[in-house]
Amino acid sequence: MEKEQYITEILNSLCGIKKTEGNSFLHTKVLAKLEKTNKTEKLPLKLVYVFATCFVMLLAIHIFWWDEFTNQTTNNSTTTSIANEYDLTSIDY
Amino acid sequence: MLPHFQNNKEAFAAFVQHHQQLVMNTALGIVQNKEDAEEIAQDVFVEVFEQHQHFKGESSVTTWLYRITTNKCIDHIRKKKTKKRFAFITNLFHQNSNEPLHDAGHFVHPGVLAENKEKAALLFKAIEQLPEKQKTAYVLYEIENLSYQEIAEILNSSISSVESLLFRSRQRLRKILETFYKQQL
Repeated sequence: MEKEQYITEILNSLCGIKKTEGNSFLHTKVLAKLEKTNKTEKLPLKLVYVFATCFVMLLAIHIFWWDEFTNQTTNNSTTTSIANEYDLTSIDY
Repeated sequence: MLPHFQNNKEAFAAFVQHHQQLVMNTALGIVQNKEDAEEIAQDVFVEVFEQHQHFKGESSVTTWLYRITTNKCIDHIRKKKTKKRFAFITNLFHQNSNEPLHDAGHFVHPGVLAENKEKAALLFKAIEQLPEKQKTAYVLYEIENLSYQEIAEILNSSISSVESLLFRSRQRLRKILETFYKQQL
């Protein structure tokens, strides 16, 4: 019973709570912050997107090129191994 | 619709003056630190200044402001938690690290009646342990005296989910307060 009373009293302790007073210098501080954020040079979002797209395209080209290159080398190596197997590499065939 | 603040600095000053109490009070209830609440209030009005043209008037200005404030508060709490974790790790390696591991002390809301201050401090200590959404809903309901409908609009959820959030928050608070009761015996 005592425990219940303790809990209820604490839960009701916010009854009649008043709103805090605002800071009279808040507007000035906000303006200062705005000026600060404007001063710090931001990279335009459009430019960021252009760079990101270019980077992704370059990466895709590289991957495609690398894939082609490795396929070519593996193809070459299989052709050579078949030629070796059937003794087609000798000069006097 | 809101006036164009970039061209009308006086209107912005009036807007800040008119709404600062709402923003400060909400932030103070959630983050439980005066300096942090003031910093959040500044960030809220910076966002209002920069984003007010995107405000379409689908909800009321106060709902929009509450939404920005609660989101900023949640971000702030998350950042603070990460900082604390980082401070703990750096303290393991550097004994002389200056990062604080614990908060300074228990928060007492300046608007609480003098006779309730001690009990309210315990309640705020318990509120601090609630999950983000439950904490936000509880503060909006108990400190800001908002209705379920208004809270639902701010949190972008339904009235029934706000009801269940508040129910769960009260249950959790009861459990936390039970442990406080046992500790003081």
